[in-house]
Amino acid sequence: MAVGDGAGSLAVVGTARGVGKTSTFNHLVAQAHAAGVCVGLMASGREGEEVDGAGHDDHPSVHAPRGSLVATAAEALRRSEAYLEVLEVLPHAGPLGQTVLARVCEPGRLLLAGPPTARALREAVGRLNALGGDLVLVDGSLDRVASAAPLVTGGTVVATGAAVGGGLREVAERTRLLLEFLRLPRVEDPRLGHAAGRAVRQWRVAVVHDDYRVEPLSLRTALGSAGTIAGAIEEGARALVLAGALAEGVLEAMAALGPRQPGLQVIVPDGTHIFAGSRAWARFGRSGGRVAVLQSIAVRAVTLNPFGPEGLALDPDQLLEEIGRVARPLPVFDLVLGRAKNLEVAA
Amino acid sequence: MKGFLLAATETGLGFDRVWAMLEPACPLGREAKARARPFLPGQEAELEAELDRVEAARRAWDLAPSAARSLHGRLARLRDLQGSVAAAVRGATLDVVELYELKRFARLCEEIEDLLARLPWERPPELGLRDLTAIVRLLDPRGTGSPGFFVGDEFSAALVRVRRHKRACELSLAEERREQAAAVARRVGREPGAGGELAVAAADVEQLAAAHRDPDLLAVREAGGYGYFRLRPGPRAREAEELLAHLREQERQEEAKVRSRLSRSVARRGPDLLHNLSVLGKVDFLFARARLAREMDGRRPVLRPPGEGLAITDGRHPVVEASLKGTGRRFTPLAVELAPGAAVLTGPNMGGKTVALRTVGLAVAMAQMGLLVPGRLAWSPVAFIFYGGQEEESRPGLSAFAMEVTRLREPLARRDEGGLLLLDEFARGTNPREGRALSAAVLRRLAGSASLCFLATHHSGVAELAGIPHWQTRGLRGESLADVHPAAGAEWLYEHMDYRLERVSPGTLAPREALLVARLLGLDEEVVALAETYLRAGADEGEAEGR
Repeated sequence: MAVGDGAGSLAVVGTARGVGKTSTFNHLVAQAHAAGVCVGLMASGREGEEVDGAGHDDHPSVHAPRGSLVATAAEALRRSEAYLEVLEVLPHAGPLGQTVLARVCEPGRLLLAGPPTARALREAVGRLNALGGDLVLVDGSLDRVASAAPLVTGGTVVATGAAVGGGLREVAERTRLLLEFLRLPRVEDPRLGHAAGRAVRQWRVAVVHDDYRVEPLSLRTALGSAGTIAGAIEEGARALVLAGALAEGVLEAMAALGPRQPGLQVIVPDGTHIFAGSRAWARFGRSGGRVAVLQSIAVRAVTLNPFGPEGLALDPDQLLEEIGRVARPLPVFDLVLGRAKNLEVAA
Repeated sequence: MKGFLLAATETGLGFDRVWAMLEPACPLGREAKARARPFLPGQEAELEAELDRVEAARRAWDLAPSAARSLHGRLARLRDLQGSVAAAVRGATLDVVELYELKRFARLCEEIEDLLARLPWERPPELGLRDLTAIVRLLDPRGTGSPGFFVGDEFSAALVRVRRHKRACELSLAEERREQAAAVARRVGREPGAGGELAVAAADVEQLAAAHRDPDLLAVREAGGYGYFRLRPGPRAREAEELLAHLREQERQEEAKVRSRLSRSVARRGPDLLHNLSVLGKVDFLFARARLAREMDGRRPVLRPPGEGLAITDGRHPVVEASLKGTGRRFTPLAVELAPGAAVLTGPNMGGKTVALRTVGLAVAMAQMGLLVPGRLAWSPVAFIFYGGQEEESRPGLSAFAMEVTRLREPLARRDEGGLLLLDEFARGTNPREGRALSAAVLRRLAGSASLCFLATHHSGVAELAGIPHWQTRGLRGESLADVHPAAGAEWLYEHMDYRLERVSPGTLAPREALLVARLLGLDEEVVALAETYLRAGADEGEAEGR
């Protein structure tokens, strides 16, 4: 799987719990290690992380090969089997302590607990690269805190599978939708991009007017105040900018507004901020609505797990076929069967 | 600082802002800063010594800025390891991150010691660092100089043996598994994929049956049209796995033994480590004060024997100065001499009375907190500072007047301890006659005490009534209402206002420039004109009071 080529860093995210994110991660680690690549391993932080209790089940446990580099929290290191040479300790502390950068001297099971903030995540990726990691792999997630992982890394691998629930069609549709979100186009007009960038740094919700003037809307968040937002958008406005989540309510309000505001687009920082189902998304699209992002995410590949918890199972051939179709031109891999789709397209 | 800076004095003087500008580089320095207490009367010798240290640090920084910057960079890398050291002293076993930090700390101590020795200063003997070469040698026994830390071969021969054995065992197990996978692949046509699972299509009935029969495969599940299998560990693999588990346990015990031994050695050096941590906190705090002194051109204040009042020349208020700089204006340095007892300050509105009081109070507060002062200060240390200012927050049920009277109770009661009371337009919230009488009475009471009081007021005759010195800001002397166009605005005021203080003779009236100032600030012309008429008619209460 050559998805890491030239990336320097790669995030693995899952469409749902149990879609095989960590086994994809471990597979990438093993493949890169076998190819003589010095890998750096880390995870992104988790929302609502607790110091003790069940929270730990959330931290991926990976097998770190000898000589690889890792970044993990001091407390997670204490609970790991591998023996490491501590190289650096980053100053910012999360709930499990400071982030420790280390080299694996005696391999073994290793608990990865990510840095506490997006900034710290970026710093840790950079330090692992600087310490000699050719490819830094981040076990990421798509919750709000950690969605920085795909932005911080050079590329992203999406893991999907039966655990999404609801059968083949549902899995394919949810995967297609997520890929669409992640790969949404960047804002074309550079002046608009600049104005929107300024808006998301300062406010939760703002409108960019015809003359690129940015006007903040006095709302803490766009969730649940869709009507107010729609009411605040004057004719000729260029964009509604959301720093937080873009939820279905806003999409619906914007869809209702659509015919009167043909040039209007919605801008979010990146595709991980969109929380909408296929129907609302499709209605919004039919009404002429457009969403653009400030940063698009370089998805490199999709991996599949035909099994989910509680006996959920899909036909791996059909799954490969379907996901191969919706993910085109991205390469899609069933890592158990050792089969792939779209390799010829991707190449 | 409680008990030293009374009531709202800390914010009133702007001392909180200055204190916040003091930024030690590391947590140890921040802790030293948090522990700092004012030097009170009776602690003159300690204060002298402290100010000497800060002055020496500042001079060293001026003379060797690049070495000082390197020192700052090293200090910024320090972490607070007091918890780890204390744990080791208690007998706990340190983990690998703690040992790494200790190794790094011992190295940093060597570098900092080197820099402190290179600085052109006479280092105070109490800021000497103890030698931690023993810690460096303990945690880097081969002297490789590598910055990292790992419980490796150099620490234990037993660990070397068990790891060598473990690696051999891991290799043979991996080899065993590879061979098994290859054998299975020859029979079933495929090797296991990610996660160690092998999938066989149910449609391929023969192969599925073969997989089920295969002694090396274990059926996991059948789903989605495939049968899934895992490698079944053979007897040799099982044996190797058991051995490996045993060796891992041995490794764990041996590694913990090494860390326990290292921790005991660290504990023996506990006093030296704690000493250095504490000294480095002090060094950091000291150089933070030296940096602050450089930023605001601070000078070492001069102590006077008890009861000799204070004198300040070239005094500046750094916070006000910085905000003036932002608008392109300059701070007029303050010069005033306050003999023991009390003195009055009068001056026009916007003439800088408040800034003068705050500058005096801030200078004394900074000096007694061991800081160099923006200006030349000579003073007898005071037991407390009280600033009764104009921006007092109102409390429900209490008028501004009630607030200031309530606040004044404590400093007045403590007057014989020898405090500094700065009263900004005391009793302005009541009628001028009573206000004047109250002000004079407070001053009279304080004049005979061990305290020093400087009271700013618009009331005339307070100094005479109390029989104390009178200072006045020069103000807008020579400018009259008729000559100034209202459109000149506040800018004209800033330009023509002379903020310097001068001692005036008894009988000097408080300046009457309120109408001029009001006019310049854009108050309705007719109102100002009417007020003038009243003034000329002598109908104001102030006139009666002034006589």
